[in-house]
Amino acid sequence: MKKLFLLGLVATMLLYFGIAANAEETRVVRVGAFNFFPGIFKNSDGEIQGFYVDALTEIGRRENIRFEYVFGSWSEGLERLKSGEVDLLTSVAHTPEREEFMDYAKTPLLTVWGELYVPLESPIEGIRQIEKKKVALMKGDISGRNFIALVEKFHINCTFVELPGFDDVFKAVAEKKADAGVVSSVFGAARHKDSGLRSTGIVFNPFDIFFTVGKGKHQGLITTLDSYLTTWRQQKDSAYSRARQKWTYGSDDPTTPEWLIDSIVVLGGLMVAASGFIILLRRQVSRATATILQRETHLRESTEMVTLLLNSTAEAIYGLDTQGNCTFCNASCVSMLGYDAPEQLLGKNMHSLIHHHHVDGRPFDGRECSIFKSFQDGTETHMDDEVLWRSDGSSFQAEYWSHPIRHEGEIVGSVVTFLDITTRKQYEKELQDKNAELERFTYTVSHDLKSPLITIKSFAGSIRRDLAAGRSDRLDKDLTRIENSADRMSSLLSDLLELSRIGRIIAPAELVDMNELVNEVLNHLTGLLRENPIQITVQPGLPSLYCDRQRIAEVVQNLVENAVKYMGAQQAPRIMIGMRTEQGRQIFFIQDNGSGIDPRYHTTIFGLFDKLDAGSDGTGIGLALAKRIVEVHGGSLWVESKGSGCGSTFCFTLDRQCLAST
Amino acid sequence: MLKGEPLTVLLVEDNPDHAELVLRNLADSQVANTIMHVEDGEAALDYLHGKGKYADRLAFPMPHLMLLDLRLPKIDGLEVLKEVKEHPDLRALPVVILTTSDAERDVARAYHHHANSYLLKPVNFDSFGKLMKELGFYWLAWNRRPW
Repeated sequence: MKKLFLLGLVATMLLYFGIAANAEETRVVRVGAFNFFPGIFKNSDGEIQGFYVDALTEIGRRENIRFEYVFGSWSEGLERLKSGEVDLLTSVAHTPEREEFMDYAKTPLLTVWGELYVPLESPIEGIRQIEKKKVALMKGDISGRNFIALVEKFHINCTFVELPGFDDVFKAVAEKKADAGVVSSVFGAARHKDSGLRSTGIVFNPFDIFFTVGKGKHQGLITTLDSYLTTWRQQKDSAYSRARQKWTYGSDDPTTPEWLIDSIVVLGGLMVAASGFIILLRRQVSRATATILQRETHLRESTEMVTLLLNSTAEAIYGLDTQGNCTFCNASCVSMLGYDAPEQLLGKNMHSLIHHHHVDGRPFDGRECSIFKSFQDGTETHMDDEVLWRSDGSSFQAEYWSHPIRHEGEIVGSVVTFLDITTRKQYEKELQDKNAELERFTYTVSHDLKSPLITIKSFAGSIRRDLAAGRSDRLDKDLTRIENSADRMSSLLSDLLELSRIGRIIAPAELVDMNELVNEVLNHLTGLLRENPIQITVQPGLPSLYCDRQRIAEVVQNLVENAVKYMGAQQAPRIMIGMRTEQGRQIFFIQDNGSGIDPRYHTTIFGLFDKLDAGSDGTGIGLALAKRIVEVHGGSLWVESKGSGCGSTFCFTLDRQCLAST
Repeated sequence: MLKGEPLTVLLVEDNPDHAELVLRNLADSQVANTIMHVEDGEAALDYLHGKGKYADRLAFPMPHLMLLDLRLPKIDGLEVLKEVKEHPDLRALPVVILTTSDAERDVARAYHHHANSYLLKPVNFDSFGKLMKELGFYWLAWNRRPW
């Protein structure tokens, strides 16, 4: 848009240069001059000066026009244009009557308004205070007319004195011939300081002033002026702008009253400062907000991380405040203690909730609790021989650690981590049992295998000596001892081999009808049972179970053989084979009414190579073997007997899985 | 050497062959007049307490030395030792452990229960004989007996 306009301007200028070049003749334009400082005025040397004059001179130089000035009052100027005595007037505002005899340029020369000036010391501040005052104004001036209309509108009574020019108005006010004076804003801004006057701040009716020519005359001139004005008013560095700057003493905008400029400058400054301050504040606020948001994000992320970590650990973790109340707990903690949600723990006293009793059922005083103690002396605690209680009243063996939490050196709580170590404790016990068994085993083996060795070697030595001494009475007996010992060693070795096999080789489990199995065993023992007439009863309807058929048959056979062997002096020997259910456990039993076993030996009889009767047959591996087979099947084997002469009942259970199929 | 005083040894041994070895060798050493042999721990305690069939002190005199095997049927040798050493009337009885076990644990436990001596049965016949001879001399001849 601007480009288009500039192109137009250049074209117009070229056109005029062309005309000027062709004419080769300087036009003379007569200008009606009057005192309208600083636009146009007569200086003390009688010369016509002002920024209008400078602007017109510049245009004249370019357009080959010489402007001649005819000085007079404003109203005289109007009359001279009417009569054709001058060609051009400056500073003309639109009025309907003026439009009848003048043509106006399109671009305003200036925008001006009326402004009321008073002496510096005058009390007049507002329009109301000019009541009954004398106001000077320029004759025929639009601003003067507007002021009169304004005062009438406010119903203010005051007198007016009309003077030929703005100079006269200021002079009258300065000389106290009038209380206030109305001048054009452009004049006032440039001249009030010299006259010792100030603006009242009463400004009114801004209007544009234009170049004018006589109606229908000098149309080319008006167009030319218009085009320069349009361009120059938009350019800060134009001849017009420079001239205006010069004549209004450096004021950027001579059409603006100085107080307004001051105010604007102050306000502007304030606004700039305020804006700067606001921008600064806003920047600081947004920076602080960003930092806070970033921190919040970090915090949220690390909180999420902590929560994730807490809830993904297998260990149960909870926090306590100094009162021992739960401040947080993770998912493992909730589930391990048999609760559904953390809310069931939060805020609760954890000792009375989960740590209230010892494993043996004694109440656990909170003050004795090592977690509580760790609060007091700030030490870390580790325990693995206590129980924790679940929501359903059951307990489990737990290992726990308690770490005090310090804040600025003071203990503010603690974090407790715990594990359910029931399984571990069970394994530990099993391991201990196994170790003990292993120790017993090696001990037994070394002892029991050494015994026959001693016999063999010693009696061989004895025989040698007897032979040397010519003694032969006990040779046969001693040789028998040697043979028996060798046999015993042999059977011990095969028994040991058998025992070690049980632990290592387990045939695939098969479904075994126990009645069938018992009958098979009894058939197998027909020989033994023929020698010892015993009444044997087998309970019908025994369950079927999954097991190593041959091994379980061995157990039954072993126990039946034992019962037959230790029947003692019983006159009506009986053996009963059956099953009873106790606390949901199916217990198989082989009951006899034989010699019975003193409760003191109820454990030792199952030891490897342990025999109650030194003189009895066998190596003493039978019960140890049976026990091992049952244990490999996840069950246990024991004896119930009130003692000598009361008969014995050997019982065994098997793993529930063996029985599941029934 | 012998002052006509009847000296009794109580042998607690479940292995009849080993018992025979002890009997033969002790008899050869000629220090003890009487060797009483029981086969298990329970019988040993009954004998010492004079219970049941051992009530007759003339037939079953209070021994001056007990040779005790550790691994015994019914009541273990260590149990017998413990009961003897805890009994105010019996604890003075010298108890010599005569066993095949050279397990550290057995040795420690035996001494813990105040065994007076711990001897391993020698595998060699000559050694066995020598041990029995010296054992007899030491405990029955050289040693000042409690009763």
